Amino acid sequence: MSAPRSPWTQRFDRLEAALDRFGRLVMEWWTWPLAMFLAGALALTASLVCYPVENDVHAFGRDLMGPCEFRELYDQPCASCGMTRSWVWIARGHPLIALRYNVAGVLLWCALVWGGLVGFLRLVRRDPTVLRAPLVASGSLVTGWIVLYMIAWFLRISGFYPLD
Amino acid sequence: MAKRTAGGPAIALIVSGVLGLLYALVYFVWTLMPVFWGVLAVVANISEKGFSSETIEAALLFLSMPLVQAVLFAITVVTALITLFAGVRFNQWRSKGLVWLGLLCSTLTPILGAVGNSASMLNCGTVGVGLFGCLLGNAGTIPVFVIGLVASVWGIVVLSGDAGAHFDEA
Repeated sequence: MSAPRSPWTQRFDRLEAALDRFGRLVMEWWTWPLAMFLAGALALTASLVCYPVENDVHAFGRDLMGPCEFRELYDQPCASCGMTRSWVWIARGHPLIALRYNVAGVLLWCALVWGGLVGFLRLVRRDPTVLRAPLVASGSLVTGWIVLYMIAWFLRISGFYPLD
Repeated sequence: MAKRTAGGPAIALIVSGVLGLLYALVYFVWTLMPVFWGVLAVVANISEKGFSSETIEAALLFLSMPLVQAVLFAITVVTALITLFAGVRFNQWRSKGLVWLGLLCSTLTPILGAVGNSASMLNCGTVGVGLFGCLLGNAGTIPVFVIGLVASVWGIVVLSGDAGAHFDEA
């Protein structure tokens, strides 16, 4: 006969069981397509609700772009400088202006919207394999995005800053 | 029959969890410093000017970034612990759901840290560390992220294969 388990061990077992249940929920076939669809819908909605006014971004009649705290502290643009403006312009069909604001921002927006579309198709067809990309391709896209984001920032810090 | 163990991917997950905790430890210093300076600035401001809408607004401004960083720090510790725990269970070939969660958390920990770095960089500027110092101080994100990503991909490949079907078998 096994020894009685202490209250702490029982609590720990319950915690493990709860985490295991949550993990299994995350593994359900519809979780990732739903997350992709929601992320894509959110990106598209946010970039359409906000609109460009000269070099700023407004929403519901208010200016969203206050002075950049990073720029005020260091006199340099931060890594995400121009990200919001690139989303707002690409959503309105102006890829060249959007690229000028932030190359990585445009790529992120395209990936999110494409992911949202794929997620929607998977949910509708109840098939998580619809338009599945090879793992190497997805990994390359993520790695490439991080590299692009950093390169663009270092270029800006070193003086190549098209927004000025 | 010898008890089955996952080996490589489980060890990678354990290493990722331990690195995540070490990272959280370093991150704790980066969090403590701005929180300390933020609280000090708020106390100094209020004791000088007294309670008013202006000083409360200034307090919110002083403390907003340190608070974001503190919350991200707390989440980072939790995700690192889940990663470590999942690695142990992966090696015992138990709790498939928990292992999946750990595989997600091993990548999520450094990403959250990286988001926190943005707050950290602003805080560093406030306490006068400078941009280069901030970049150097936050460079630890990169190895933690790379190892976390490797552990995640390796684990997902193993779990998605035939071996994954035999999880939780006594």
